Formats: sequence, structure tokens, C-alpha cells
Amino acid sequence: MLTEINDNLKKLVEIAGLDFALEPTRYIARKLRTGEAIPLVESYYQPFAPAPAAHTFTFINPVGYVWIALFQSIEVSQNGVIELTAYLDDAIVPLLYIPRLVSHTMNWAASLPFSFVMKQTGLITYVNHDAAAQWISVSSMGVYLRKDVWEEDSKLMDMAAEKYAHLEVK
Amino acid sequence: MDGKNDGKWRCPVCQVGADIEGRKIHVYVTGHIWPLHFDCEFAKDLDHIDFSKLERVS
Repeated sequence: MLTEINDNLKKLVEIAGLDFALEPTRYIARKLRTGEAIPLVESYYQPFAPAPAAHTFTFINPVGYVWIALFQSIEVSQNGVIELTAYLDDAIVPLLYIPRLVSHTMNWAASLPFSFVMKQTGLITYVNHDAAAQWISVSSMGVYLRKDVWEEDSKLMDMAAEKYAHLEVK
Repeated sequence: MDGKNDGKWRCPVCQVGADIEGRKIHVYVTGHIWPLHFDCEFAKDLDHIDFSKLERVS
């Protein structure tokens, strides 16, 4: 009986430890501290010509790194006149498709953990549908994380989830 | 735009490349910082890009 209780406690401690370590902000903080990740806080301002006009960016990661978005803020000159489409890597459906973009913020790390992970490239298209010139400003907090580290950790996260999702407590 | 600027262009300062087709511009950026320098022509709206400051690639 005591052995079983002890075993169960060990499992609970292990689950709690994984829960703590893999919580996105703690995970990123640890990777930053160990030097496996590099912080990147940036913003850009981009004006657009009057409609019809499209401005597309392909962002390409430095070789050997993935980019993880943690927080983003978007301001537009006028709500509801810019169409935004964003694809990650070779995805066939967009991560973001906003037909009438409005100013907003997104806390990616808290709301959709590890959802905005760019393994190699990101394709972002802005289409100005307004007769007047418009602009957008984007601010983001993110990190470059070593690709090999991310691939290994992703596997570990999946393995842990698989192991504990069906755990039987005696 | 009359299409005379259609094609591939490059900024001689930062080497960033872009494709232009009619009213569409597609910029290729290594990294996530944009623009790489304050006066990059590709960071302007399409109607205000000074193509004389860029290199035509094709």
C-alpha cells in the first residue's frame, strides 16, 4: 500500500515537474538562459500604395534556427481596409487570414502556446483595398531557437504528453 | 504602374531582393528585422519607390 502511494506520488511529482518546465514562457526563459535561444524584439512600419496594391514579405530564418513568436501588436492606419494573409513554411492553409484587418495584439505564448513557430519561412501578404494610401506597424517579441533543440524538445513534449495522457494511478 | 518596372530588383545597400509585378511587390527578407536600413526603397509604398536607387536583376 505504502509502495503504491509512493509510486503515485513520484508520478505526480514528475507530471508537475514537466508541467512546470514545459509551460511556454518558462521553457523559453530557460532556453534563453542556456543560450540555446536568442531574443528578438522588433517592429516595422510599412506604408502601402492606394488600391489595388499588394505588399508581400517572405521572411527567411537564419540557417539552423526556428523563430517562435511570443507576442505581437499590430496597428493599422484605418481599420477594415487591409487584408492580411500569413503562411508558415509549406502550410497549405494560412495561419492568419484576416480579410478586414483591425489594430490588435496577440499574446501567442499564453493564448496559443507554440502555435506561431516558423521553421524556415513565413509568407505575409498585405493588400490595401482602400482608395487612399495606408500604413501598418507591427511590433513583436520572439526568439530564435536552435532548430535541433526545438526538434528534440518537441519530441520530448509529445512523448511526455503521450505517456501521461493515459496514465493509470494504482 | 505601366509595367515598366516589372521584374526582379535588388537594394544595393542591404542586398534585399524583390519581385515587382504591376501593383504587387514581394520582398525577400533574411531574418525578421525590417527594413535593414532606414532609407531602404523597398520599405516605401510602391508609388514612392525610387527605382533609380535600385539594381535591376532581371
